Amino acid sequence: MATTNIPSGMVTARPALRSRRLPRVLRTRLAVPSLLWIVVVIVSAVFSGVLAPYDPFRQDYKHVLEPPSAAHLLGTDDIGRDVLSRIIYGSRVSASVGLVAVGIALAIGVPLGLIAAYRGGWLDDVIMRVMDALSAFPPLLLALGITAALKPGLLNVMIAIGVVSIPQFARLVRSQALSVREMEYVNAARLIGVGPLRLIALHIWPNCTAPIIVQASLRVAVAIVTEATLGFLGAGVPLPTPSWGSMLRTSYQYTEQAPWLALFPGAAIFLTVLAANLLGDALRSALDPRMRGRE
Amino acid sequence: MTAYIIRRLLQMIPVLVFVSLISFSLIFVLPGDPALAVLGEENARDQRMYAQARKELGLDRPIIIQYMDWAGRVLRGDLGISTRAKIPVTTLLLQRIRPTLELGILSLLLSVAIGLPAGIISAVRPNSLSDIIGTLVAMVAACIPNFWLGLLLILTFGLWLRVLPPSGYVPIDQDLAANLKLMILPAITLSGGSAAVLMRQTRSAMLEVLHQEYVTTARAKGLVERAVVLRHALKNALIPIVTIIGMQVAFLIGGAVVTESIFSIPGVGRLAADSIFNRDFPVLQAVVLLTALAVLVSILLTDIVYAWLDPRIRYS
Repeated sequence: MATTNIPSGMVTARPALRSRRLPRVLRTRLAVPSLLWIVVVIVSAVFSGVLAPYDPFRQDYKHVLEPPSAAHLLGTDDIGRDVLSRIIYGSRVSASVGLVAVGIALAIGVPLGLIAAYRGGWLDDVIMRVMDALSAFPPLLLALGITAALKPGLLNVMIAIGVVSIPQFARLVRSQALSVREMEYVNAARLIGVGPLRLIALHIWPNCTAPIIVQASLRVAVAIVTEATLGFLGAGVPLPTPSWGSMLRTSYQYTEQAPWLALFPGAAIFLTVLAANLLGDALRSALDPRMRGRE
Repeated sequence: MTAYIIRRLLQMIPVLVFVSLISFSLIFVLPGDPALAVLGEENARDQRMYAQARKELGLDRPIIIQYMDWAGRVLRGDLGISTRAKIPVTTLLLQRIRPTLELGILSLLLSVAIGLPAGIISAVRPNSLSDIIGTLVAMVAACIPNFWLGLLLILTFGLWLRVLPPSGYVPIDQDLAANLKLMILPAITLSGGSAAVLMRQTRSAMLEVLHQEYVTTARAKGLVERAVVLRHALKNALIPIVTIIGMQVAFLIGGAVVTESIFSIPGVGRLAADSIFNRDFPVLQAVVLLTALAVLVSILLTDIVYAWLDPRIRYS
């Protein structure tokens, strides 16, 4: 069994760091447009009332299923509501679910990961096995189960998606904290009598944040897709609140008659998810010191 | 190898216990009082009858006893009765499993058939035009929500070009050609995301391996590039790739809920989606629990393949 003597570094050696991620062109050229799109989404979520040309709830039975025109830039839906206005208002649901769900996952996952890494032993085992169990459920199905249990509603959708994302953060923080815990300065701090809470909060956690920020921006994208999927399946934020997923659900009945109903909300979801992902990649390049200066 | 498999099986036990606890707690908080469902609104107003019904259903016992009882029934294959179809959930699931299995297998094959070669081509020439185009396509495929992709495919191929039927399902043993024709669009919809993940993983795993010294040695001794890439590099890059393929199972099961709903395929995913509207919670619960078990089994199988590919893992 001579193989056991192979140093563990060999298994994880990464000689080609700079070329492992996106091709250079994509990494550098797409970050700014992505950021711009995210700003557009946030601005339209905050200022929906000012930006939307129509009341998103106003029904107009004289103008039902109209294609895009000067009066209705993105057309109207099956009961004559303005699609553009509903997309603008729908950004509120997407943006808030994306941010709050990831916030919930961070608020629970980060402390769990830190405690697991710091204490080790049986507590670590229990926490990590629960995380393994949580991540054994396909995220969408678990989110469906949780929303069914909690009854539909914006907050419950946020909770469901947040819970589903906890294991990712707990695992990532734990692995970071495990290596930080062994560093000289942490030992030094412990020796001069810094208590465990202070040690975790002020000495270990600050050195774990970079990958967490990257992961958070990627998870916002996942949260937005999950919310839209729940909406599409009819288990999301209850009607008539405009959300991109539930708009696509309506469009499904009029695919042939009114394809714009499916095109625009879908494009909004797609672009937002794409932008959040690209931004995550750009953040990773910016925050990872090993990547700096190697472009 | 046997010792490794036994060790992994033992490690799975606590995870299984937590999975069952999570599933059970979902049942526990789900809306709808079973006693009320049995008695009906009228009779339930009678406190004595209500208490009696709760006692008969075992709802008055400590939670731990209820959990043990439930777990025992699940182990015997009793997943409760569908409140909608009024038949055992197990029977219902068995009726619906075939389309889902077919869709899942087709999608997995399709994503490997696209993702693996695309990743290799990208890695052989990083930053080239083919790499950029490949990565762009993968990026789009990874970010496109599958229900939107499904709608776009129905719109384009089913309604505008009219080359493929937009939706529906024919059993595979009834008419193979019709079955495959109907399965093409759903399989593309479901595999898009995992093909993209697989492509990116293959690309980065290959890039790592291609920089190692033994690859240089293989080139130096005059092997043709094709042999270097496929025989020497790919073999070692396969380990992280296999993991990713194993992880796609969870993703595919989740995606089946959406895909089957869009394309009207009468599978387990569609059953789960419908159970939400019909408030058929025993069915939803069973699907949630069983998919988690399927994922755990696929992770276990992946780990075994992984250990078989790389002896260092077996002995560590």
